[in-house]
Amino acid sequence: MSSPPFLSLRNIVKRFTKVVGGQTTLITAVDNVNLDIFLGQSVGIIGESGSGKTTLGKIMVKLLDPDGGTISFGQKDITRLKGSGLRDFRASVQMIFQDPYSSLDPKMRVKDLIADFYRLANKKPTREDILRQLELVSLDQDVADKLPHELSGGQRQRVAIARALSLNPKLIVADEPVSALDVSIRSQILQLLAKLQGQAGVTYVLITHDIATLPLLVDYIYVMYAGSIVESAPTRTLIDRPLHPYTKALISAVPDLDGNRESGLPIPPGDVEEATHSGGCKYYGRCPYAMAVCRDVEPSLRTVEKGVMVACHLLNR
Amino acid sequence: MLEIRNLSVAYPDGTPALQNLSISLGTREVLGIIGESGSGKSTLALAIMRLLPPDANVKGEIIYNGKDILGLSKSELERVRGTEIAMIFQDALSAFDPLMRVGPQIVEKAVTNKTLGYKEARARAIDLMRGLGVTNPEARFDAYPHELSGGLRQRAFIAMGLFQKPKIIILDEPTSALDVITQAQLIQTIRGLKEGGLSMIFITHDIALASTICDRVAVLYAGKMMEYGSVHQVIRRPIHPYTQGLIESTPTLTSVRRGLKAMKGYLPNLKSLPGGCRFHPRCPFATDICRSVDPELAELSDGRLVACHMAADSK
Amino acid sequence: MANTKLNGEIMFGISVILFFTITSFFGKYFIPINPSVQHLSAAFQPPSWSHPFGTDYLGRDVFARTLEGGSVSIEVGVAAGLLTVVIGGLVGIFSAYYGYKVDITIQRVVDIILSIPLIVLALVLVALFGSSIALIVFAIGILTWPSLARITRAETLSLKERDFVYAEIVAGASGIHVVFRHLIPNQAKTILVYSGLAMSSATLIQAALSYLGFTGGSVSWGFDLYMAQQYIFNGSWWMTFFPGAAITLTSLGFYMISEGLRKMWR
Repeated sequence: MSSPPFLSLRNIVKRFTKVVGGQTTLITAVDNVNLDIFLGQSVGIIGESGSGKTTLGKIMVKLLDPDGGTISFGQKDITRLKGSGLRDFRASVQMIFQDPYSSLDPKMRVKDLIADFYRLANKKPTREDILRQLELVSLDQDVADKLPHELSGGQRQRVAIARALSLNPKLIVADEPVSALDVSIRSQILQLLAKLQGQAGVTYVLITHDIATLPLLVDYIYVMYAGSIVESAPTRTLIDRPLHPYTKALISAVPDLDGNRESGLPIPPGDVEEATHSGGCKYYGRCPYAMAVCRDVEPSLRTVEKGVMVACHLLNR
Repeated sequence: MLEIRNLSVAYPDGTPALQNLSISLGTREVLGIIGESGSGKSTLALAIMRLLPPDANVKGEIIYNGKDILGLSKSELERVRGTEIAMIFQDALSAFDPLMRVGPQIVEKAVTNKTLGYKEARARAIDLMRGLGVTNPEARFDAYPHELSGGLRQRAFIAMGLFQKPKIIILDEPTSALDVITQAQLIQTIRGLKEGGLSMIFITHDIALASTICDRVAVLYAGKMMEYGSVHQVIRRPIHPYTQGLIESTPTLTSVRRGLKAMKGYLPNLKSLPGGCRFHPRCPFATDICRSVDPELAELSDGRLVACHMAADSK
Repeated sequence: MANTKLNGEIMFGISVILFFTITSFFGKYFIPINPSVQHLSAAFQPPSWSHPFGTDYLGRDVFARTLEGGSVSIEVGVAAGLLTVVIGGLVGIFSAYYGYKVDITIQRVVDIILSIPLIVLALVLVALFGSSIALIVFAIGILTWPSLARITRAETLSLKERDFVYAEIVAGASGIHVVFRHLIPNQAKTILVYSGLAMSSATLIQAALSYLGFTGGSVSWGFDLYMAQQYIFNGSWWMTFFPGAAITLTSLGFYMISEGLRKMWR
């Protein structure tokens, strides 16, 4: 990419304290993550729960402050900025949340929810503006006067999308946008998002645990495990030729309709919460190819071929 | 093993949750119930276990071991529940008492019934958990529910369900709250159970998941069964437009090539179902008869059952 | 809404408060008895046609005094209640929303306030500014807002984690915008129910203060009750009964409105 990245994250670290029973542990939710977002190239972040992907998403839209690292918007370092200094950023980067039942103020009607965002951008919306937004997401006019609880999950999510678009953002970070919806509705919303990519010219960062939803929308995928990026590659390359053992396990574990994708790959034991190894590669305890070096040295992310990066000792030969 | 005849369930206010459902479960079989919210799939599970609220309107028969479960007395029911038919559902965290350790809860019923002494019960539970893939089962036995990860908790829940060696186990969305890899582990475990002789009813919204484990499937929509047959029939070559729609709109890793087609419309409100076939507003093949007459389940030449006017012809 | 028909509690409460409001503010135009005129010769008269509630130790008409006392109680009850609600509501919400240092500081302030005895504060204020109704309202408002603050803080702590608040922040909303356009409307019912309670206790506290002499210069039920206590044993039950009943009923009236709203909205 010759143009500078639209949004750039460098060495992002975020820790949380977790209290279980009487014990307090420090968890590193995001561990030294580097990420570049270019306009026009939508990106997917795939990871399971505990991977840190949601935390990373919140840091990306500045809902959370990182404990370390920098965020650059265009050429500006916005890591420490707050309030009015973020005005341009807030107008350009929006977020869609997983739960359509809590992302809309239950007391406000749809037209007011959308108008509210217009006003935040210092614009005065007319009824036509609101209806146009609704049409953009294929909602009927009569939805404008409804309250959130009168709408279905799919309709609410469309309202959330219409609302986010009213600010004309360049980037939308979508955190599990369809996971809370019924199966037959999911593809409707995914197709809507795909349509808007062209129509509204938005770039997405799609955060999800369901890798099957990514090929439709993103050109590039980052795979996260226990807070670190373990592999990143263009979509088709990642899915057809995964390199990191975790990515391989993930892809082969996805149930497929055309018979099981029995690749003969052993299913890794345990899960992220109980089996994250510290002191070396985090995947050490579950990896079928683990070597001695994996136990002691954490592999760093290295470019293996154009656009493909992996953090695995297996590939360092 | 289990035969359900004409089961209908309605809420106290009259809203129908299940309409005239008839299915059967054979020995060593995994029967899949596929449906979205409002399909009635969870209602079915609760009906079998007689866990529906007392003012729910239940009609029909659920025959197990020659007797109708719906007609059992309280004491007979308590005997059947847990020992003959067990149920696992989605949220393992709420299935356990957070103030008690997991182990005692797993063995609770057997120990209070004096079927087993505590020491033996504990040993059996630990063995059971090990067989289910729980690492370090001795320690897990003494753990509190919140101390276990999601996958472990679900396995402990399954251990609790299996502890009294039931013949049938109902799993209602057992993997929905879990990661893909943990889900794959659990499916492997469930396959093992099937080989060990257990019959299962597997309830899910994920048709792709059902295709990996089930032998036969029933597809439910808004309380009614739309298609019923073997996995090869229903999922590899679906006939009912809803089943087709579900399959075409499920994103899978190969779907980009195949093309993702979205089903139009919304899930109907059970209180105001469309007239005629309840799927007609969303059906690409709907005709006049579909809009006015609710299709009956008809048997096709390959033995499956489909409730669709358009399918009756392809006999 | 589940129960929009005004239920028994609300009807009772509104009736009582309306009754006292009308009689205390407008009664004097219809019943031209001066509450402050003393007829020492006519002291301790039991209730009669000319004096429906009897006369007190100074021969003043108790009925007129009961009517007159209502104006202070209602005024202070409503004003102090509102002051409590506004301060308590806003402080609780902002404290929870901004969190961290702001929250901790405010909680310290709350602790300090909770440790100040009402009487001491009233004494100090009177000594500094002289006795007046405004002072009484201020004193009560200042000391009773912490309990609402605790409630709105708890509500806000959970509300601010909801995705719609996050969506507002990401869209660039300021804290003020989030608080006034989203956090307050979503707690409006809680706050309204509480305002009835606040007015109810403000009425009682005002009665207690005037009982101790802080009348603010007006005729007040509490003070009359205090004086009347000394004369219970000579049989003048009417001197304690009517002011006492008035205090109870007014406070109860506000409370019933609160209860009724709570029932209606649950």
